[in-house]
Amino acid sequence: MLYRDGRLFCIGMQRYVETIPARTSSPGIVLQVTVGWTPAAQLEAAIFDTGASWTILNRDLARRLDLLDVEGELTLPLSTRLGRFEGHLMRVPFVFPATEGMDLALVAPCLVCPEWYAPTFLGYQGLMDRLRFAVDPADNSFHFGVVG
Amino acid sequence: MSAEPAAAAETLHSPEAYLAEIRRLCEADDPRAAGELAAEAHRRFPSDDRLLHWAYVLQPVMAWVASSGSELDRRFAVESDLRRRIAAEHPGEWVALLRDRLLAHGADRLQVLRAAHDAEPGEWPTLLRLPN
Repeated sequence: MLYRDGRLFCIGMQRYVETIPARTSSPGIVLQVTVGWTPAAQLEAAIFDTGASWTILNRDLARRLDLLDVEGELTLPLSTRLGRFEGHLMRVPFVFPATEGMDLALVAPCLVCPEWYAPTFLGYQGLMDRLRFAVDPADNSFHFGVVG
Repeated sequence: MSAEPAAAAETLHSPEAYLAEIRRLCEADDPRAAGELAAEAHRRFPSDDRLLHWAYVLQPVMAWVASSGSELDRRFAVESDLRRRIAAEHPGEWVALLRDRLLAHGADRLQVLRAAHDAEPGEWPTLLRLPN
């Protein structure tokens, strides 16, 4: 996708779904991402939520990445509609695989909370606010690009 | 939208004052302002490990086109290769990588970050834990 003057607006597009398998609620835009430092990491479902302040990892995913048992001094509280949680901020790599175009890779601050059993959320602030994105609900396409 | 502006630097005279303000901004859901303040705090009190931690984790998102051959893409490809090569030597340890260099490793994340930062103060390393 290009600007009128030919500059790139986005570099890739992914088809999203609107629910996470085995969950009855309809969370909205569910993207597929790989998380962590292993190139062959498995795809994870992550809810894109412009109302979420922080990106937060599902507990099981954090456990698989061996990020749960870190020192406890530098924690941060997180207030959500599911309650109040305590977590650690870590810098974690993500890849958005493209259905069309090129994959997007990034490293971003991310909250790891031992009690966060909900799915992984991609928060707006500190992550998605540093990316270009556009959504076309007509065909469930999520377009993404790098700013700058 | 930003939370209330951070207190001016001249009103923050100690690492503790900075830490309190950084946490306040984080809890006010303003990671960008918190990151800017953490960077400033780290410049003023470079020996404080807690401020080093916040400056590290709150640095801006790095984003790039995967497999593009860009500088960031090359850096993380080299670090991924290094991570694979050293995985058996330091299982379960935190490691700090900077391109093809292992800057520090050990059991304590903050100590590894500190050692890496002292070794290469001009650039943030990639900090990760190797699998057991």
